[in-house]
Amino acid sequence: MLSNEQLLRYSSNILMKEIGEVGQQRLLKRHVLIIGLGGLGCPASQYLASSGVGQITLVDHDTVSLSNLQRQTLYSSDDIGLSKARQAGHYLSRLNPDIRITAIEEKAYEENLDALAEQADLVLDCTDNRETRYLINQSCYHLNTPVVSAAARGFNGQLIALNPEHSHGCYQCLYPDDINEPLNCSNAGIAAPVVGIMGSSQALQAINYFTGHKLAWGYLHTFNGLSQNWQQLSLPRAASCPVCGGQNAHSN
Amino acid sequence: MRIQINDKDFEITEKSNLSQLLSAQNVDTSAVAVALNGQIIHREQWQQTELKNNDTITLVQAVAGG
Repeated sequence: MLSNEQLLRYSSNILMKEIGEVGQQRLLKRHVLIIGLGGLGCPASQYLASSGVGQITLVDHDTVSLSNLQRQTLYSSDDIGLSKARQAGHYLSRLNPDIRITAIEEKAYEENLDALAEQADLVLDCTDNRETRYLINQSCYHLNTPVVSAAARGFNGQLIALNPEHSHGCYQCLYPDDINEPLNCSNAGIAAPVVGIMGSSQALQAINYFTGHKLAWGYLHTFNGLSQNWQQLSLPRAASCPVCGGQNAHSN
Repeated sequence: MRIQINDKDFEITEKSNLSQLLSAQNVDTSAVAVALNGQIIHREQWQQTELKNNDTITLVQAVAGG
């Protein structure tokens, strides 16, 4: 049962037939793990907290710097030098005291990822580097936990929702290890609203998933911020993939 | 035959596979995912993927920032 305060706080969700009171109760029971509290993680966590996802775990080892403030909307100039996970946690707890926020000031790496992802119903990959993306993909496939991964650079954004129980390819299939990315956020620049759109899309996918709507699992969505066009490309499983192919496959 | 690569039209005279086309067009494939008619084709299949008239190829530059 929702309290009177919850009925009011989440009234805009409850009014929609796509969510309703049942959907809101589902949201309140779900646990999302958000890895990376930068340009993607800020809007993603903000919308999931305000929408009433009951438990949110935030993971980031980094501190706020002046150049982050162009796009990382949870932080203010007073936060420079402070922990992103902790500051984001404070902000989100004030935004919605009705939910549980856990801030973990650690880098996501091989040794802690399984324990973190194990408790979550869904993982959002909001990181800024390829190495951690591979590790998150690996851990989610190992634990059978769905993951929504997004990335942005310049005016381009990408998003893919992966469900290890489905037969599509994984992040490793999309960009095999031997592919090197020549440019990243810190040397190529990034349009703030583009990364905001990608992080908001991750939040939307999470809400859709938690409230029982179908996701387009295994489709790479690309967004061009100049033309404002989205494109969908299906990602089949690579037979040779060390993470999801062959014997490692959970499904066929 | 006519092939479209990222919304640009190309006229190709000889029969070719995906791998040949990418090298003929000097595409740097080191940080790129390649899709044919909306489906990503894995690197190991490029050579055996023969192109047909009006095929659409999408090159997606790898992005990892956030």
